[in-house]
Amino acid sequence: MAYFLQLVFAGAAQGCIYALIGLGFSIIFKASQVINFAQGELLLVGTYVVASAVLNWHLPFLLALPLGLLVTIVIGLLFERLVLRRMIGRPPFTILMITIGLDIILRTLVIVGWGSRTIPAATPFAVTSGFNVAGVHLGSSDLWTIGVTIVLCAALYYFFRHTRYGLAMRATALDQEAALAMGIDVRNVYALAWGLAAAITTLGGVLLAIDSLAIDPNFGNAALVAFPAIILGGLDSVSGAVIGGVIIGLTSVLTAGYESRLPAVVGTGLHEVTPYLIMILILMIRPYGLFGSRKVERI
Amino acid sequence: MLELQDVAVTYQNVIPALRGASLEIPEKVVVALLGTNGAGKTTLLRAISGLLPLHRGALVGGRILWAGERIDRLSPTRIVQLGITQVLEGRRIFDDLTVDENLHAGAITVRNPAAIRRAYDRVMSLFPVLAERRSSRAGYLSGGEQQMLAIGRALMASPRLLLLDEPSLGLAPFMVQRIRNIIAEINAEGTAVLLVEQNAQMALSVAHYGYVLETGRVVLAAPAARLLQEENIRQFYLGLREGERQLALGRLRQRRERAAERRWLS
Repeated sequence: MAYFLQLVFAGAAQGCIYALIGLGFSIIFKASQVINFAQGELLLVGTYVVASAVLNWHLPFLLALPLGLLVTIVIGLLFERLVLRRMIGRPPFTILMITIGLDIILRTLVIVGWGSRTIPAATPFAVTSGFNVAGVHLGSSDLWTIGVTIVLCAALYYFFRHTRYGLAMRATALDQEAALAMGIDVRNVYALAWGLAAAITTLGGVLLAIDSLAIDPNFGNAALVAFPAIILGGLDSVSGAVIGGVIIGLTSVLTAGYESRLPAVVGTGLHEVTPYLIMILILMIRPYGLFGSRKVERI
Repeated sequence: MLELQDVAVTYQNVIPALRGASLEIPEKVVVALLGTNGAGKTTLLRAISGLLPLHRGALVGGRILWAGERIDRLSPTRIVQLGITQVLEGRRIFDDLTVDENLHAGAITVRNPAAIRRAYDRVMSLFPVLAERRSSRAGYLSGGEQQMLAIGRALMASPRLLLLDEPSLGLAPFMVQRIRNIIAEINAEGTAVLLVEQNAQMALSVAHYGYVLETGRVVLAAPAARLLQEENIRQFYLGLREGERQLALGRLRQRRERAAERRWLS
């Protein structure tokens, strides 16, 4: 039982990380119908900046983190300002290809700037810190991950439901031209979406780096693991991204924990496949994802 | 108050939609804009409200003046702030948002909470139906209610000029009549209206003045009462005599030159 609970706890923490990374995807997708393929590389740059700030420039972690967030927010905003702003009204596919370009540029810049060696990740916690409850070890970093995710989700919920900019973003997501006709500045909405998404994803990346202790230029691929999470939750659903993330995290950790007891023929890599299996299963039942919108139509 | 001078618009740099259209909307007046599909009515509204770039259209000639100032280079946001709001064809409400959220989205350019409150109360008294359904999802409203919501949403910005694109589209006759009365009521409170309509009968019954647009040019402009009497209009737009489309078109073309002289100056 304790083993199971331990796995659930670890799975929830990992799920929260996927949720944060997934939120980045779905906020941008919701605002502009674009899947941002540069998401993983934004996260990569952010974690490298945080790691450098702590290890090379000896900043305290709590200063390094905002610095990393700031850098990715600025990259997100610049990209929106210099490239996407000229693309309003163009087919989403064009913009999608441009984000792949940005992805390649960012990854190259990281290799140029930091080299391709693995470097240690910045962490404010000792590996063993945390406490035990009923035989389950609750690690500090996992607890913080879960806490940060919950607080952030609550803040996002409030933002989307009860603020002017939140309303502007939701309206723009539903009908860009109607939003423009209401005088909503769609450019600001895009900028806001990119800034928010960059910051949230980077936060997810930094938490993931704490978990994996080290980072290298392939670290951005973590975003790909968050991908089944958002597809499963429904691409355009913010709460779907969170729930999808947690489901994926739980499945992958639970299978990893129990796969050694399965017959040898299954092998040891099953936990890497289960998230995708779950995704395919759910999509077969609900093609638009758990919380994705089928368009509302009156009957 | 609003003046279009020889406005020419092309889409994607090649497709002409307006070829020098001139039009004037005085303060507190309802102007009807008639014309067949593809005549350029919607393009004209987009040119005013700044929505052309979204459709890859651009103003290639002429100018648009609002209270004497050029507005044809301004962003849609700025134009709404100056007092012009467009209701798009097909209602285009935010169907996943509630009625209240739709209305508040319409007031996004308004900073003053008291002004939002006033506009909100005005919309609620104009459309009691919406008051009953404040927190229901807009997508579940009936077609007529959705049109009211679309108009109410535009009124939340307290515009001095309201641009209405085909508000009667797809509505039952009694609902068309209600929309007509609502337009009259909005106008009675001092808002000017530019009304684009296929339903010429309805449009001319509420308008003070009418323009007829044909392949991107204004071919006829006259007080609404006179347009209602006009033989060609009766045949062509009101369908009072069938089967004479070509003839009517030809006659309208001949009137093009005279139309310029007849343009109504306030």
